[in-house]
Amino acid sequence: MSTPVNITDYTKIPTQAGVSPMTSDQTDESFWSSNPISSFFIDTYRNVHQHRESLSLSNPGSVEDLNKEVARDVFLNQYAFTGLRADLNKAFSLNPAFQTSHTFSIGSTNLPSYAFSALFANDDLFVQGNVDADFSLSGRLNYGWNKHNISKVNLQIAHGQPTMCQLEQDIKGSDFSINFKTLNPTFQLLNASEIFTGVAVGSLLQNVTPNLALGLEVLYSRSQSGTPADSGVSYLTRYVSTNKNWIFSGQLQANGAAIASFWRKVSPNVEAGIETTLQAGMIPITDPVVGTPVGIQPTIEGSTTVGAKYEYRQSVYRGTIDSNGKIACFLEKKILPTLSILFSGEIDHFKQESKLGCGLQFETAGNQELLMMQQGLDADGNPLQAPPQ
Amino acid sequence: MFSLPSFILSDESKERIAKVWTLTNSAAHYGWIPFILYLGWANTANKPNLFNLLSPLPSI
Amino acid sequence: MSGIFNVPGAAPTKPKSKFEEFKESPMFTVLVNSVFFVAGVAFIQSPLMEMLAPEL
Repeated sequence: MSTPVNITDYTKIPTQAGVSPMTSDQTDESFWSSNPISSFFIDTYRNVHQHRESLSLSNPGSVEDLNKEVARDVFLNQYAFTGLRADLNKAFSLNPAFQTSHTFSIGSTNLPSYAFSALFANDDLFVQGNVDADFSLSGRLNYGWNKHNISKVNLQIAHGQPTMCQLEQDIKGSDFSINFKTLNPTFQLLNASEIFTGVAVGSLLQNVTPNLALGLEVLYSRSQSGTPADSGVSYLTRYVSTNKNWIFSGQLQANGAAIASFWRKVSPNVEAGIETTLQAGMIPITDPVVGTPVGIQPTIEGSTTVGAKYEYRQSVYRGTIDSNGKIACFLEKKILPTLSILFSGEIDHFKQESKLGCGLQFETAGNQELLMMQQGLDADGNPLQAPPQ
Repeated sequence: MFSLPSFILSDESKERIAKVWTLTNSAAHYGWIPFILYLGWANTANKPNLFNLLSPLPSI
Repeated sequence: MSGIFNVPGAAPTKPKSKFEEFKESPMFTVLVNSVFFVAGVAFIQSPLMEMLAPEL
């Protein structure tokens, strides 16, 4: 029994041989996908997109973190200090994280004698602020709009100094990262040829294979209106081994620096890294008799630093040695659940100089539960189970 | 009497913009830390008082 | 022999050897640091580095 053909359903009506009516798929399509020119672009985009998905690439991480494992985790640039310091950290809540910190320091050239900082972080907001004894403020705010978009603001305000304000937008795709950054942007609507002053940086890091990422960073800066603008391109690359236990990264920067770094996780608690920096520059040659400059000569300064980080349950040890004769180490040891000691030392063998820093870090709590937790007890005073590793 | 193109700012509005800029600047300078402390205070269960927020000593 | 009492440029300068000339050129820094980097990577990747990691 054939059902009678519904006359309003045109798709069932046979027409000329070889010319079939539009299928239901086609009738669903919009003007843009049905007309040949735009559909060509859409199809090409789809093919490229499908091909990209078939490669199953992961996100390469942000450009800022290109050599994070070496420069920020293993090396002690971020940690080293001189003089004596004491940090009093007070935690009020863990989730959302809220803590304040008082830092006292003496005998240091770069640490202020007193600084107060506060931090608040929940799932999509991170705010941090730091005020020192001279009432200069540095603050940062990160806000994640969704999984792929993070906006960042960095502020530095001090009395008698120009305010620094950096706005940043991070875009994280499935296999690429884009970052736009601008420092102290001002727009002058009067002058059409010099609309923008400040620094603007745009960067892109794209995974081309599951292991290899290539990137590009474009910098444009004009410090004052009236001065010529400066611009440059940096090239970036990062290779992560398949089982993620070693990483190579390389940068060719617009200012003439080449940086290569290598990181390896030797064992679960030991990491090692090496970084070589070559900085090309120009120095003027002066005439030996008259003392007037007669030309310029290219120079290259280079240094190589090797370092290792040992992480134990109660302590972290970092040590580096570099080709300019500097040996440095940074030790951090938890001697009580609420007290850690820090030691930072550096010896420059070529210049016969040394630096020394010692510090104490106290952890205090803003409520009963956290206080007990810091002692390794739960709210009722029973010993906490060790968190599963 | 001719009028300036709308994108050219008069001296008055330039002054006003500069004033707004300095105001924002000092608002950020003085308000940043209190803002964080307020955020933290509002999101912490036991609502610590101001002295507890600012003192480095344990509050119990 | 300080340079003060000599007419600059008049003092007989020893002709530099090829090696010394190379040692002062920027290429030397590049070469030395590249060698350091390669040697460092080789060391970190070698079983020697694993021996420096304590067994826990």
